[in-house]
Amino acid sequence: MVGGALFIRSRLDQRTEDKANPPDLVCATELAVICERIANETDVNVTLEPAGQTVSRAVALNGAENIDGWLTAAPWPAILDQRRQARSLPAMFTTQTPPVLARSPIVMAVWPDRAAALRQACPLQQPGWKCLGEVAGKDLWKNVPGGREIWGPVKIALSDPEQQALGGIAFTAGAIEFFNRSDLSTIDFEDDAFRDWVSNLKAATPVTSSPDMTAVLARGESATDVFVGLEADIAPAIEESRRQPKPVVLYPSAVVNFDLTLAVIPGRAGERLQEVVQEAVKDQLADMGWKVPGTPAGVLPDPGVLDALRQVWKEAAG
Amino acid sequence: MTRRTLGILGALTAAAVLLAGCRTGGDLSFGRKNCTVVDVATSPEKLALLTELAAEFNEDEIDGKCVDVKVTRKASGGGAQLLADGWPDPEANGPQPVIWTPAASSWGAVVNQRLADKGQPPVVPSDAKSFMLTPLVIAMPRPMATALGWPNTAIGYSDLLALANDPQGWAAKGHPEWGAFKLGKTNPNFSTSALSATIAQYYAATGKVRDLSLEDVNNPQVEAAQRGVESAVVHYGDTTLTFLNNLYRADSRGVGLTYVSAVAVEEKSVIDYNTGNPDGILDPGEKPRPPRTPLVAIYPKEGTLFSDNPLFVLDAPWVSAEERKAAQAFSTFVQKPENQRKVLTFGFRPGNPAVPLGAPVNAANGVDPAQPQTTLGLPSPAVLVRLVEKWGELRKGARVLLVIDVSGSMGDDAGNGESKLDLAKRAAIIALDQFKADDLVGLRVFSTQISRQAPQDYVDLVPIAPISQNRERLIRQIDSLVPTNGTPLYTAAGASFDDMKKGFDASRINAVLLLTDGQNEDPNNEDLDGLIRKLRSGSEGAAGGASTVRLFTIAYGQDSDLPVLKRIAEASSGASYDAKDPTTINQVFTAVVSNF
Repeated sequence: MVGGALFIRSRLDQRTEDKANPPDLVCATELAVICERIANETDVNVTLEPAGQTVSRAVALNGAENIDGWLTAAPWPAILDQRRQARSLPAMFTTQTPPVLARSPIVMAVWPDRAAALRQACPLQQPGWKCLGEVAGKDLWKNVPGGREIWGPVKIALSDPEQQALGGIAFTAGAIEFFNRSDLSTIDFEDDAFRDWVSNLKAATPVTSSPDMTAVLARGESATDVFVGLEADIAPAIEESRRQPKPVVLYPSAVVNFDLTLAVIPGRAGERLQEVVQEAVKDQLADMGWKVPGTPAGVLPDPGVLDALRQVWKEAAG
Repeated sequence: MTRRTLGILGALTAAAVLLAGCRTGGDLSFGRKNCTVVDVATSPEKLALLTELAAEFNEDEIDGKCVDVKVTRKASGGGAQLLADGWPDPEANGPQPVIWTPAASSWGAVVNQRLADKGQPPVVPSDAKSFMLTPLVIAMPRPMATALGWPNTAIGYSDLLALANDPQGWAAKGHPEWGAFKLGKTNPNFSTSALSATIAQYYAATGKVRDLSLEDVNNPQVEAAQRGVESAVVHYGDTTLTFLNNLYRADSRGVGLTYVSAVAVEEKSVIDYNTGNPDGILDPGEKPRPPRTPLVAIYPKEGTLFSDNPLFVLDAPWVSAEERKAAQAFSTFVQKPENQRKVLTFGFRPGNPAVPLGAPVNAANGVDPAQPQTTLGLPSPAVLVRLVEKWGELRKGARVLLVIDVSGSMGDDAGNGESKLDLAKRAAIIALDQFKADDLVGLRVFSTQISRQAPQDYVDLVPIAPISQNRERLIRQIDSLVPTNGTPLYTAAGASFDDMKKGFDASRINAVLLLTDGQNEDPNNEDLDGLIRKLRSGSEGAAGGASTVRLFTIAYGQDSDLPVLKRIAEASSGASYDAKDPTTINQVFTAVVSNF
């Protein structure tokens, strides 16, 4: 394990000296706008890919080809390192809890009439994850109290929890709300009611790589009833929209943050990445609606639990 | 989603800043050297708008270098097939695009699936923003929509499916005078509205609203339902504008309701039609005149699909980093609110929600900005591809007479060293592949005094028969054609129409495909008005409409008489095609045969 880590460090030290070989940053897909800025303003090579894809290709790497750092949500680097350690490979990153650059709560944007129907359908609870899964289980809005036939099927825009950084955390928030506690373990996920809830949620979630709030607003109520995303993306988009009606933002009872972190490979390349990335984005993040550094919200379970939930989603019938 | 490298995309923000500061003024799109050229292949409906925006964009520079965004027209389905084939022969097919903007994202999925089937990587990215939007609707003449309960009753594809399969037709709804239910629908190999309508038909037949599967598409009961709907189709084609033009003319003569009952079109087309601009293009000085009977947009109760007009910056091998960067800057430019406001003036919904919806997307033009309330799930790429293949098997059959001019002028040079007849022969032979095995096809040639026996001005070389039986004979005969005398256009058109009427087959699309390179040169028959009257009376109203034979004409070469051929085609509610540039005959032949 130590030998592998040394190998990585040695290679990186050589590369940092080589100005013609700039550091490589991998970005989670949700962070495209931030990462385009980094690509524009620095000499960093930026690659955009879903977090799940990064885990899949980096889990067995002996070196760190094309990865000097990873800009993503907090638990994902830890998921990768836990998986590597399970294969007796060294952890890739300097620490399992890299500093949080900025954070944004994961919220739901819901069209007003659909939000009213959710409240009617779930009178005893705050409309949130649990309610959403129950309503999704009715399949069509005409089967939901307060719903209308012309709304068609219940349609949720949630980025893929197995592949996308945001989706994975959002789905974990859903599980926390379902069980009403955050100290989850993999045993919990054998619960039949939970599995049904997941299947309902998945069935109502069309397969799209990365749902986009602007596209939701442009299409109106027809394509998406509930959009799950970052407050930092959703709130400004709604604010700028000139269409009526506008979606309302719901904060589920289990609100968790997308904690933006930069995990780096030990060595000078990693240090340099930290410097240049922070310099490039520090002002922009606040302007974009991110909280810098922001108050923690909710507590996520162990990264291994989040990884297990990815598998639960993958296996769900949908 | 696959991985994407941003290093080479670079500088969207920087590009925008540079664009703001480097105005050089004037229309610089001609005569500039060493500019970065960004070729854009666009579906036809946004050609004018994108061309206008490109001219503005081209006034600025990126990184101190001029950019020439060049916009060319390419139908969505045609572009999809070219991309799946690696965009061969740019001279004939247009330049290999840096940006491809079909009418809907679904075409991107089709391209990537076709490439995947060949073991090739995708070229169409999955995350392009919508330039503009328009939902697919069912356009119906208002009285017909009202007869189905509109606006108080929600109408859907299932209702049309039932009506199409009802032997009583409109009589079942108290209107026997309207005859059978007639559906206007284009060819999903070419047309986005047809692709979307076909998806919607399948959903209606399965009762599903999402997750259409291969099993659904191959289900015999679903197939039977599809055959029923397709049997109600008037004819197909590459553009819905043919239907709307024909309907507009029929409406002006008071016979619109017997031409077509419903057309699957984009919402934008309903707006254009109701404002008196059925083809969406106003000639200089042309004053739009609203139709007597307006159309209303039915937003199907099962849900619909959007044409979302993405600007795909292609991941194709011919796209350089510099071109990609310029293309991304153009994509950002068209999303600016001031540019998005222009989208509305064309009857589309802006892709940027920072621009509010407003006129002309309103009830005064037969559309409802609060609709649709639900959409159908886009099937997986594999299902999409299978669905289009299946349509080829289930579509309404055709009975077509190919009528080809072999007058002396067809032997003239086409401009590339070959004769016009040589090019036409090759195009006709290629187009034969578009027919399905049980389509009935025959071949007639015409020229003055081509035969010593009556009729002297035309000869049937291959009688109409299933193409599975006569394909080789058709190819041999077409291949052996030689130019002869003059052009008895009116006689050939009239006689072909009459002969096809005699053998009319109600279960098929009955049509004449007439290609000519000249004007009528027959002193024995110069009666164009008589021909038009005959075609019109044989095509309109309860009597003519029941056994309609449509003429599709191709004006081939510079000397061809396009206005006359247009009149002839439109008199039979067919369509005329322009191949004045003989080298375009392959594409034109393909477009014409897409009607069958």
